[in-house]
Parts: sequence; structure tokens; C-alpha cells
Amino acid sequence: MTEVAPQEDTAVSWAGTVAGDSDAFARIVREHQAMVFSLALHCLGDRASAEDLSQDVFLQLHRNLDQIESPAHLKFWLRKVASHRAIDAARRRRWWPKFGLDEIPEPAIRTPAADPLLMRRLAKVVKTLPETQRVIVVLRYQEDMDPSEIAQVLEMPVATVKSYLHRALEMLRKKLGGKKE
Amino acid sequence: MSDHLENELRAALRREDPPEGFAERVLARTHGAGYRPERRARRLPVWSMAAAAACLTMTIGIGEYRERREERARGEAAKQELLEAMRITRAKLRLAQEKVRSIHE
Repeated sequence: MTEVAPQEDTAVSWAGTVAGDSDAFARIVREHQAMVFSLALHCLGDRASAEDLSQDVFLQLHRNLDQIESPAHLKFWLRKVASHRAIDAARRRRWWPKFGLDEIPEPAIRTPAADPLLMRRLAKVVKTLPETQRVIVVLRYQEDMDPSEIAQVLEMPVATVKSYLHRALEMLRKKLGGKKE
Repeated sequence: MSDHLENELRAALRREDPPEGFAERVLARTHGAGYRPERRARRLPVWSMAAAAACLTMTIGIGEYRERREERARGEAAKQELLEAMRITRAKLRLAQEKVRSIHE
């Protein structure tokens, strides 16, 4: 699990180096932009909304740089804020979805794993999951986080994360044709 | 649990770069006119709002008390003037009565 606990000396020096240094902040944005943007994109489904959300996350970071204690804490903070914002944004969009299951073409046969069409379809089906399950799946498979790390980010019990993940995978299998591996 | 679906999910949910110029747009927003770098909006603590409300109530109360006191003083002065006028009138009447009585006697 990623260490996010404060480490006094390094925390002070790190925060002092970064706060007020626009070059350091720019480096942080460039280093983590793909993580934050992809998390938003895989939860919301369109690039414009994902960019808006990602920009808001980095602006929030800019306002709170003095709270960040280390590079590991920074990564944890970005994942946490992006996840919570993505869940909120996805919930707000629940009543006016940009796409639905009906728009997803059913494949006639199961295509190989590397097929970009299958990947696109799978990503779209992930976006039909309930918001919290969706974010858990994205954190698990995009960020390769284990359930205990996800539990910390989303501030929920590990057992709940495991349960959501299990249900999400079941739902995905069902929506993809009921085939169990 | 590691199966085919999980491998497909890892491939489907791989990281993607944001559109070109993303970082520059974020930095531009941090320099924007309406951007406030404060961590959070400063809110007045509850005790200070309660103190302000108490001050306002006291100010209004004192003003009202002063107004009533002045009104009462004005009323008292008017009463004294009326009594004085009645005393003078009574004295004049008594003098007039005495003169009338002395003419008849």
C-alpha cells in the first residue's frame, strides 16, 4: 500500500519547495495529468467533461499545496479528490446520460482481447456501472490499486470495496454476454 | 482473482493523455483574474456573529430607551408648564374676586 502518512522533515521541505513555485507546480501537473484525466474520462465518458474535472482537481491542489506532505501523499490526494469529484459529477449526470446501453453495438462473436473495438465497448460498459462501483473498477484496473488502497481513497471499509468490486465484475460479465472465464 | 475480463479491463482502462496544452490551461487558470489562491473562503466564526448581533440589539435598545426617556422628559416639562399656568390663573382669579368683594363691601 502506498505510504501517505506524514513524515515531518521531508514533509516540511517538500511543501516549502513546491508552494509558491509555479515551475514545480507545472511539473506536478504534467507528471500526474494522465492519471487524473483518465480517471475522469473513464468515469464520465467524454473528454471535455474529463478535462473540466481534471482542471478543477489541479486548481484545488494549487490552493491546498501547503497541505501536501510528500510525493506519495500528493498521488494519494489527487486520486482521492479526482475520485470523489468523478462520483459527484457522474451522479449529477445520471438523469441526462450522454450515452446508454442501447447505443452499444452487440458484437456477433467474441473478438480477441487486443481488439480496439472490444476495448472501446468494454470501457463504455464500465460507464454504465453505478457511480461508486465505476470509480472502484477504474481505480482497480486503471491505477492497479488493491482494495485496501481504494478503501483509503474512497474512505470506506475494505470489505465494502471488495463487495462492490465483485458485484461490478459480475455485472460486467453479464452485460458482456454472461461468459465467465 | 485474475481472469480474462480483468486483463481486458486493464487494457480498456489504460491511462490516456489529456488534450494538448492541458497543463498550460491549468496554469493559466491559476493566474486568472477571478482566481483566489486562498485555501478556503474565510468565514466569520459563530461567536463573532453572535457578538455582532448582540451589539446591534444593544444599540437599538439603547436608542429606543433614550428616545422614550426624552419623550417622558418633554411630557413632564409640559405638565409643569401647565400647572404653573393654572397656578398663575388661580392667583389672578383670586385677586379679581377680592377686588369685586371690596367694591361690594
